[in-house]
Amino acid sequence: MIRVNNLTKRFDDVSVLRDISLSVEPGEFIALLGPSGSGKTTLLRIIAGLEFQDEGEVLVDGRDVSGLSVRDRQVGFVFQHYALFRHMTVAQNVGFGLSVRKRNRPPKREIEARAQELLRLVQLDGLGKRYPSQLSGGQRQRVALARALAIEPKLLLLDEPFGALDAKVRKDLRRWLRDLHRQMGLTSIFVTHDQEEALELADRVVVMDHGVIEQIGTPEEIYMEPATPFVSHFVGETNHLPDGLHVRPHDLRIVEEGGEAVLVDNVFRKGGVWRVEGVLSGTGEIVEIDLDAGSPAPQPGATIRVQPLRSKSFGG
Amino acid sequence: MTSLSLSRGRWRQPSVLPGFGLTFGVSVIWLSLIVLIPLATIFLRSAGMGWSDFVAAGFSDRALAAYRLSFGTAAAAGLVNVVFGLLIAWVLVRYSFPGKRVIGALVDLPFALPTAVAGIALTTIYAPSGWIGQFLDPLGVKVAFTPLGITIALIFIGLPFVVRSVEPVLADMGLEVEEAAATLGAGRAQTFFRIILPSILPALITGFAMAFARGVGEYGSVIFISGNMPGKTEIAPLLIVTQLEQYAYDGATAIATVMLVVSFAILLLLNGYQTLRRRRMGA
Amino acid sequence: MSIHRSTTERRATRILLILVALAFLAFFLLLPLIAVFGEALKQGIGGFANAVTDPDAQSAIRLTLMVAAISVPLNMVFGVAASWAISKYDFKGKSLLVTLIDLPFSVSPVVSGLIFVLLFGAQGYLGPWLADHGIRVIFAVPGILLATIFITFPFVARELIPLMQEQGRADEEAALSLGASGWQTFWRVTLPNIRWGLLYGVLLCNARAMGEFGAVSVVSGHIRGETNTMPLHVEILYNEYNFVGAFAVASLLALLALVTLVAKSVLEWRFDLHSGAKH
Repeated sequence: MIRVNNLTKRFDDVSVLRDISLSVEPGEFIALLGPSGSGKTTLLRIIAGLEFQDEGEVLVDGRDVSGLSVRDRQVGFVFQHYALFRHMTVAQNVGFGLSVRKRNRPPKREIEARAQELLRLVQLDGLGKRYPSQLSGGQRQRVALARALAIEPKLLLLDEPFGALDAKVRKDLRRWLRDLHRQMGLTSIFVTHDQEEALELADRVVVMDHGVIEQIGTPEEIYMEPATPFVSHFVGETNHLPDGLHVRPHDLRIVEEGGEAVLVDNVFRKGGVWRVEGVLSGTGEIVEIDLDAGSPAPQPGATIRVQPLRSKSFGG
Repeated sequence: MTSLSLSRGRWRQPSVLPGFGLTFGVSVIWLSLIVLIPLATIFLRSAGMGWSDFVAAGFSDRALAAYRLSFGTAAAAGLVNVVFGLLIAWVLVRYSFPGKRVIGALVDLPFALPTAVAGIALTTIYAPSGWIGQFLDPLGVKVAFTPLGITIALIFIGLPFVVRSVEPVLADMGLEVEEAAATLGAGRAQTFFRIILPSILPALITGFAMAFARGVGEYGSVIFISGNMPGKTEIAPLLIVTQLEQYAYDGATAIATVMLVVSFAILLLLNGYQTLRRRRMGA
Repeated sequence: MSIHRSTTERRATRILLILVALAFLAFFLLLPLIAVFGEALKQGIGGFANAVTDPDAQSAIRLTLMVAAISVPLNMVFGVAASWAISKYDFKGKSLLVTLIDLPFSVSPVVSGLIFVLLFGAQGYLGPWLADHGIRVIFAVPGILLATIFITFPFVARELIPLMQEQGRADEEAALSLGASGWQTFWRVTLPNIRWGLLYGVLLCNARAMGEFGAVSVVSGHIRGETNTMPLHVEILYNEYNFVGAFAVASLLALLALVTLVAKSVLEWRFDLHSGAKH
């Protein structure tokens, strides 16, 4: 189990982490979600031992590891741009962690066999003799993962694991990583700025902003019960209705009477729904509404009345 | 060890990479022993001379003539190099022609060729009976043993500074801005003077300043071709050597101090200029 | 008048510009190079061989090789250490350190020699103490070494600092997170990453170390067979009107320059180091 207690970190005079506390259960898959500058990567790097906190502690199985160097923490870290060693083959990259061991370094043949095994696990068997420059982005990502797994980490940390990949590869790799996690059950934390990624993969999501944890919860809780206006905005789409009501586009429906008047500006098909863009007559705020594609679409220029099915209030 | 609490005004960010103490220590000690302490002796010695002695030695008529010659020829050579260095960089970046790679490599020759070798070669070429000198002499043009010869040697020395400083900027500029200028109706000459030249001007200035600074201090390639007549073709570095040979250590020190101050001033101005530009361009 | 692309010049203009550039390079760079070899071989291969095998020339060659063999590795170790400290850490005063490392580039070679005379010469600050202990620095090999190290001080660091800054710290962090020690990380990850840049810097450093004239001239004392490096030997022969001899030794140095240029270009083309002109 990983526990982070009251972590604080400053760069020069800027606070990047403020009083962060978090606990991760064995086998959990955790997402640190936030915009750039939210401190999520710094938190990940402190847990890894790549960065040092100013205050607070990091406990692994109840033991404070703050004084341990990254070498001794036994964490697998997958870097954003993979940081593969260019002058080594894929197999040498994967075997690196075993080959630098001072004590119980396995014999060469065993390291090679282990590298092959891991490459099979990440579905790259047969590519061991290639160099990183000869691989695609998705393949490099999996080599980086295999390399991190080779040291049999107690904890796997991934920094923006899909950040540098194009959309299609990203989606495939996401599915694959989720399956791999299920199969191995290794406690894992990954950093992302992509809410979809976080909601799809993680058991629990930690939403961060400006060095503070805004909410910790399951994807369902984060989406349905955002704890703060920031979470409501950052995760999913949100409309501002008067009286501090936050409503998702699909939680609005058209009513004959009552509700709020909306002047329709534009209507287009978005997947299985009509997306209606309009302006709230009262406040002039822009509103987005998703309507069942089976129902007739309102015409631009028309005024409709909408009412929330469910909403979240954050005061005035 | 709960907290590795460090004071806020810390001097360096903590890092997991080991070896800062070792590498920083080695760097600073080696830098101090080889560069800083020896350089400091010049100023120490100057300070010990007293102001009037310093002025007498550092600004004598002979010294002033030497500065004029050194700075004048270095500036002249620098200007020639700005024009031709830009032309060569332009040709190397923009056009393709047979042997381009070899020509590109040849530009660095002055960096690689020992200055004394360049000096005797240039003298042989431009002496009155030399390869080129024999044609210039009947025309009344004397190159070797005149300020013109010194300028030619400094053109040789300074050329790569300008080419190598302009080349990457020109290459990075890309054709898009020029295409944009063309779509807006600019002619080729307008595009060059209003778009290209302003973009590469900082690189040109940097190249000129580096060539100039190098030219002012240059010794090996110049002394053979210069003739070394006091007051006429005696460059400042040669005057230092002459003073040293006469055991006039104070004289040598005073002249060296003046030259050092000028070089450092150029370096500072250049750094300041580049910082200012970076800030303004937000890059 | 034909239509041409808006981002280049007319063909005739192009050819003219290329020709002017080539003519300038031929006159100012190529001709001196040809002159060196031409003059060296003026009296045939025999005259060249005599000059090069002369005992004084031989001892100058030996001294030059020795000076380079000592000063280049020292500055290489310094260069790697300084680049590591500067590129892998954040600390205050970093840009000052970078400026100070470049300082020797803006000092006249003659002044570079002078500072060591002022420090170690007979009238220098440490001169009397050295004389009492029978140590000679000026007009001896140690002085030549010091001046050469000063002159070539920035070369390696200057190549490596931008390269290592661009490469960042992720590779080293990855190696550490996989359990490597500091030295393992350096030898197995960092050094392979910078090897071509390092070689490049060492090449330039070596060319300058072997060819340095002004600084060495001030501290050497020109003692034939003892403190005469190759460039100094060229000067002596030239001033004695032994032109064939001077150019013969000079042609060896020119050959070194050519080898350096070729090796440098190969590195640039193959490893995309400093390719000023993108092709």
